[in-house]
Amino acid sequence: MVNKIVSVGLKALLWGFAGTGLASLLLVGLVAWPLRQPPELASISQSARAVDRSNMPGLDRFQARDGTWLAYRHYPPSAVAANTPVAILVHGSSGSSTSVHALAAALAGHGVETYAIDIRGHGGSGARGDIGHVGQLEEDMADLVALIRKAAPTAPLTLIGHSSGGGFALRVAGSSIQHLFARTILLAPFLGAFAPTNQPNWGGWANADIPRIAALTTLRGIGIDCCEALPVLAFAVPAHSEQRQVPVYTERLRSNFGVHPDFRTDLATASQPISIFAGAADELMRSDKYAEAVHAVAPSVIVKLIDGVDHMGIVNSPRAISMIAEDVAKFGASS
Amino acid sequence: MMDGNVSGSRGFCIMIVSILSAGSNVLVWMLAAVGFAALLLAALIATPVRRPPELTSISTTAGAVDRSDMPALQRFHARDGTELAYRHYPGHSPPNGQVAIVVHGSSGSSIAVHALAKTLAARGIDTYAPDIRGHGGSGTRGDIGYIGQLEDDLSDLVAEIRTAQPAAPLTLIGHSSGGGFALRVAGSPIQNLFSRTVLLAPYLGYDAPSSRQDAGGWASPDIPRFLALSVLRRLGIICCESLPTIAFAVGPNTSAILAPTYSFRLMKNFAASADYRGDLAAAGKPITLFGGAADELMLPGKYRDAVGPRVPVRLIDGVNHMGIVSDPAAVSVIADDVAKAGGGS
Repeated sequence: MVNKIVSVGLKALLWGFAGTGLASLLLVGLVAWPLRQPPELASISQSARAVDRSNMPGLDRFQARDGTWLAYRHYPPSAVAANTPVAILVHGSSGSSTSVHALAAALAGHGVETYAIDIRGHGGSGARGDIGHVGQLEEDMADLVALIRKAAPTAPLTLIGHSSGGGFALRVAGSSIQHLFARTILLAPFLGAFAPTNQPNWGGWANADIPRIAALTTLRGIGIDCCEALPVLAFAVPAHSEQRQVPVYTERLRSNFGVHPDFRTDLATASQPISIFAGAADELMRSDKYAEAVHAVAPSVIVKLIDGVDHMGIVNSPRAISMIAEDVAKFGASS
Repeated sequence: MMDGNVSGSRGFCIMIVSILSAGSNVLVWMLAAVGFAALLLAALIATPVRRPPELTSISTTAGAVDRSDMPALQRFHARDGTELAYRHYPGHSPPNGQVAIVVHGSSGSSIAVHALAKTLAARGIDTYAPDIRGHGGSGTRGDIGYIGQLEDDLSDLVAEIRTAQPAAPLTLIGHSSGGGFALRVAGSPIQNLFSRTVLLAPYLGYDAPSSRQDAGGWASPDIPRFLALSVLRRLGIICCESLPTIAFAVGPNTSAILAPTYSFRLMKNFAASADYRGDLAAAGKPITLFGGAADELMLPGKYRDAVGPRVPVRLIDGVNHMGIVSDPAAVSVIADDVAKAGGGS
């Protein structure tokens, strides 16, 4: 009897270990899946390169709560009035404050005091393509707002994000720090890997290491955040562009710099006004689908499409940026 | 005949079944072994890092330095695009003709070596004090991208310096963990970028004769996690090297100037190689070692045994671990030595 119990127990233990072994090998196999860099996407590099940056302000820096120095560009408003509206502008994936210079200058030209940040992992902030932990980008954002609040304690603050930065702006709009901002504007936002607003194959802009992401997501699900510094996302940047662009993201940067896995959860918890602007000719996003995608959860979101504007054009074509800047300035004046 | 055939084929079947069942048994046992190893590694890795209590001798000595005349941070792009920070102390006139790079110790930044850098500049030595990636103004606190990146960063800094100083002899000076790293560089493929290396109270590894247990209370390594990650690295699995494996005895509210923990990859890279004797053996250029006789983190009396006859060792009386880079007498002795060596080369 005792023998039988011991033998059954040992057998169960053996099979338990064997099951764990099989699961480990499977996870290792998925994690080992290599990440491939996609070929350069010329529409992005050309449109971004066409911007005149001769009048771009230099990088300023502040220390985030962990001591890391983060960089931003400050665009003082053309005319200073009482309670001048303030905007924080977040660039898209792989870029930096440089990518949104034209829009930042247009906002300042419309009387909006504008801060264009280099999100940690980009430009002058932190180490390229990585952050410390998921949630650090929200902490960085709160630290930047605290810095801005020293100079402008009560001015209404608008958060503006482009592409992945638009996804991140929506994440913030639905997060516990949402009340730092009076309003959020999403420019051609990337609403997650499975959003109906994506062009097939993400328009050729990025390759994701799906097996690795699946394995790391599984591990995180069981409380193991061992491997989140592994690269999982590669962008279609030109060769030898390391000085200006980030070629790959780690898992923790990928999962933090964007919406939550389902963007609808962010929309559902957001309480301040949200607007979306997108170019009708966007080659990465199916901009005609934005209204349908967001209105199912949040009918109050305002969606505006701009004809003849593509994915980078929404932050650098003169027509688009003047429309957006006017909208931000008007809202600031009315609030 | 018929009977024999039947029994033969039955025997064959039994053999196949027993091979299959033995095979599946072997498979189950192998998977079980993998599962056991995975659980063991996971348990080791799950052991948390513990923060040691503040070591006041470090904070007090470091805090006593006058930094009113410290130059501001400058920045350059490393090869991966990350901006790295350094302080430049232009050599005073008359120029000595040499350039020095001074590397700070664990957790600190260029701020920690200000007194020494200033004194070197006063001797006419053009001096650069970098914030090593993961510290101060360089990268994200307490982490780097991969083991070997710090050597890449140092080469990039030398290339940056070489645009202004194409031919001047370069001395690499490192303090504490930065001294261990300077020794690593002195024995590495990039050793010929430097004409000489000076180690100040270097940390030579946990098993070196000159090391006190847990660096005299300064550092608390997560040994189970460190061992597990080392095993994985041996197996070619570099999955988890951004996990913290060591914590330092920094004071509260010091995150603006100090890195409280290191990831595995920073801890491994910002140090001598696993056996510092290999670095010594591979080094082709002169190395000198200075230590404070009153060092509370190291056993300075053991440095001579540790590095052997090839490396001159000088101990300075009454100087502790941070004093070797901040005490006026100590920095003056070191600066004189660096200035003189250049004159002779």
